[in-house]
Amino acid sequence: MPHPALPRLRFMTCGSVDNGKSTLIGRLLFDCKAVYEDHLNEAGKASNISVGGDPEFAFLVDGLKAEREQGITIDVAYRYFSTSRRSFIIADAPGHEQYTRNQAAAASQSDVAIVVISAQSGILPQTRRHMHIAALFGVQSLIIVVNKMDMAGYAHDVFTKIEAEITAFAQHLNIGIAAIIPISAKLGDNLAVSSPNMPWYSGTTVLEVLEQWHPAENTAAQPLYFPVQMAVRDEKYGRVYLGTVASGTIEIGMKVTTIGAGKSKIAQLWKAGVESRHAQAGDAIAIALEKQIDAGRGAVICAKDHVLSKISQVRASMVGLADIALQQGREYDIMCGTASSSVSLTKIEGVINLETAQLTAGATHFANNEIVSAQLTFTHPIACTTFANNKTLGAFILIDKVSNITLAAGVINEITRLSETVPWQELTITPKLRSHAMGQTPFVLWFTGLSGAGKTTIAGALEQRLFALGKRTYILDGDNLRHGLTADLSFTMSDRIENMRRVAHTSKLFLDAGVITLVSLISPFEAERQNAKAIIGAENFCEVFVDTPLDVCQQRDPKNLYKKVKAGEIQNFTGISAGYEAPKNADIKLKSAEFSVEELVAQVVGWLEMKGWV
Amino acid sequence: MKHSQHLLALEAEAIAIMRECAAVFKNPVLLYSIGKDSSVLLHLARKAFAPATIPFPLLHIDTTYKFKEMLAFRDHAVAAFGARLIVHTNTAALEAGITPFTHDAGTYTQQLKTVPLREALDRHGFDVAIGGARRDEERARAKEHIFSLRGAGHTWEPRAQRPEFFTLYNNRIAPLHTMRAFPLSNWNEIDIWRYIEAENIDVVPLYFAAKRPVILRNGQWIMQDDARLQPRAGEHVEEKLVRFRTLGCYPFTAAVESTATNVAEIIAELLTARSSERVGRVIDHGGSSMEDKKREGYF
Repeated sequence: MPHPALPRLRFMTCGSVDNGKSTLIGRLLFDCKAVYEDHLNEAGKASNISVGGDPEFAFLVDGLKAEREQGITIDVAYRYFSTSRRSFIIADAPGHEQYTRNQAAAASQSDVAIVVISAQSGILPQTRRHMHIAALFGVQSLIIVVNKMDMAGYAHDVFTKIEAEITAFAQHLNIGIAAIIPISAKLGDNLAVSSPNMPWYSGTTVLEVLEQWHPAENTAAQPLYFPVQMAVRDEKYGRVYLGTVASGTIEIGMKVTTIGAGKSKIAQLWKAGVESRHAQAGDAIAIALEKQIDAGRGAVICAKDHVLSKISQVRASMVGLADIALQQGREYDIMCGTASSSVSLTKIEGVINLETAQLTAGATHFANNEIVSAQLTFTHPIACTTFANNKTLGAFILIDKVSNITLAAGVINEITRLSETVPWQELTITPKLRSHAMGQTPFVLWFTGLSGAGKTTIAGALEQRLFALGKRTYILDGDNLRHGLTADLSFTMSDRIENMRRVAHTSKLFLDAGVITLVSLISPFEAERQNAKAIIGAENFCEVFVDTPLDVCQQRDPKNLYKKVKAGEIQNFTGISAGYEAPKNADIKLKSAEFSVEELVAQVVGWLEMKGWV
Repeated sequence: MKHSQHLLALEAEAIAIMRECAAVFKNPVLLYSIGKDSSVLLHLARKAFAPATIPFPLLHIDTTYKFKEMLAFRDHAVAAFGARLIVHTNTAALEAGITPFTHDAGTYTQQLKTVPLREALDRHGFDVAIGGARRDEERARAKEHIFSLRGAGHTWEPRAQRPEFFTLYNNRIAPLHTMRAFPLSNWNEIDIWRYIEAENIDVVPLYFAAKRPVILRNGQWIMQDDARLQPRAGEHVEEKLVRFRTLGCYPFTAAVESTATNVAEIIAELLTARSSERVGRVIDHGGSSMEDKKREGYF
């Protein structure tokens, strides 16, 4: 057997449950002699069913069955086979609706998707969902197979009806169709060999299409994008940059740079460890430069005239992967290309209905298996681009900052803001100069606790005390801010997240101004309090947990709010109908039910003195 | 020999995964088991970091029941690559009298492979272990992740594994957690041999057919590598022209009858093979499943 000439093809199967995806894969492997006898025996034993001496083909690939029973669903199974012409990787994901994320993961690993439609049941909602997911997550071309033609009497009109319908839907999704083929996976019609049962079909078999498929030629020269994976130091060549070329070509002598760095020239190049003159997209290379530039992991080395910009805001489509919901306004870690940064989920524009391709607006959170269109704003801009422009630099995953769980995976559809367009103005009078002029070290005391816990009372008494010591102070009180700065926000989870974000940034400005700032805000979520700490800076931030039992707060009820909640006049009330996540590691914990206000103030001042802040 | 585009893609992918381990983790280690996959892995590690040297050590778990030729090959290969090799053995289990002849495959594997592997990873504080497992080796490996997460105590929790999108590997780990990485995930047996041929990579001579002393036991040819393996009643040692498709501990690794004495002949033989590679691995077919072994920390 000669070496296969074409690159390996990665494909997946899509389609509704029971339309025959597993049977198709099993039969294809069997017909291509890719099933070993011991595996075949195993399959025979375990399935205990054989039709006319044939093994039950589906069983050959149903290794995930036991896992499905246990509710383990994140997995995609990979199968391998080759013919004399080509090697193949099949990404095989379960097809039920609750496995949208698995389908998306498989699509991200596939060039082509085989869409299996049953001749008996026609196009089903699941068919449309899977086609949509495939189109979103990078599949370039579809092979539509109308299966179970044997059960439909090999009738031509059954086929043409489905053919017309599916062609129209694919146009809607803006994805190409490589072929539409009538088959019987079980009997092998038109799968690996042409079927004598459908003389009206003169096209190719599924296997032939797979063997001959190649991506649409892009004749335009692609710009060089070389995302740096790591830099190593070599005795002879100095700094050597390692990575895989994401786009274009690179060669010795080429003038290169990366955004924000100087220009240089490729002095030496290694392709898979071997000295070479040039390399292209897909090659794992190492380069040494004539003059070193500032380019670590995450930098994208480009030709000097086509530099990839840093991006600060994008519009993206993404799929939820975990049970933890992603909240509008919350911050997440992001990996994109080789870069890592942090983004806030600024705005969920809508949940995508996969059957109709329509957007349903109004969601403020999403989770597992939901696909949304949303705006992401980078905390630290990174060099990236749209998925349509480059698959490597336009795809990303979002990671939970606390649990490290991958929460979402997505693709960038549009760049909405370059980082250069809103530069940070460097001012000559620095925070240090201002605090020096005021004769104090500014800091932020962040009071968190239930409504009625005593945050504002304690903060007010403390401010009097600090003022008496000659300190310049200010209180940012949650209730007061709701009259202006945060007047547009409600008490839903996403609006509370936004509320905390605004107050954190306002505190940061007061801090820069040199003012000792006391924040009095319920701030019910740990993630946003941590985010506030990150925005303000841990070295200037003190979390004060006013730890008062709910029943004490209810008895006090200084604003009669608990009574209104009881009467049903207020919804989303912290401690009653909305959650409060008590701080795990507060810097100061104040038991307001056990101590007087004066004693509590003394406790805070004692802590501040201990830290040397007053 | 010219590489096929298929091999070039596999090579680039494996190099990228290995670089990712070195770029993101503090203390990577390459698990070196001396077999053909390890030979390929080591070769790729050198290519991944050239012109610089391989930035992590190799770890070999020596059960003391490896073929003699494997150990000789190991020391020679490691010296040739200038890599640092750590060898670890569960001497306590050996002293307790655990042998492949007196204990079942499950106990033996647990005590002489899984336990010392965990010990060695802990002792050196490795946070990512790079292994040579391939998805096509065994059915249970078909859904193996390229990067998988292990909890404290090397537990493997299928539910906690992270979905892998594109080439984005979430490799954030909490203290005491570790990861393992399989750069050869998408290779199959014939890719390995074609790559060995194309790159002229050295492998243990046991892969090539030669006359060897073997005993027919439970329908499989077991090689008498030293006097610790003795024929039982009704068995006898005979000379057969055999080779090995995979290499492990000699009492648990069956030879196959073959006339393939070079890489090209092995490839020709594999193209017509009707049984899978691991059919000669005794540990796969008795006792706990691969899934259970993985939960305990086996690779």
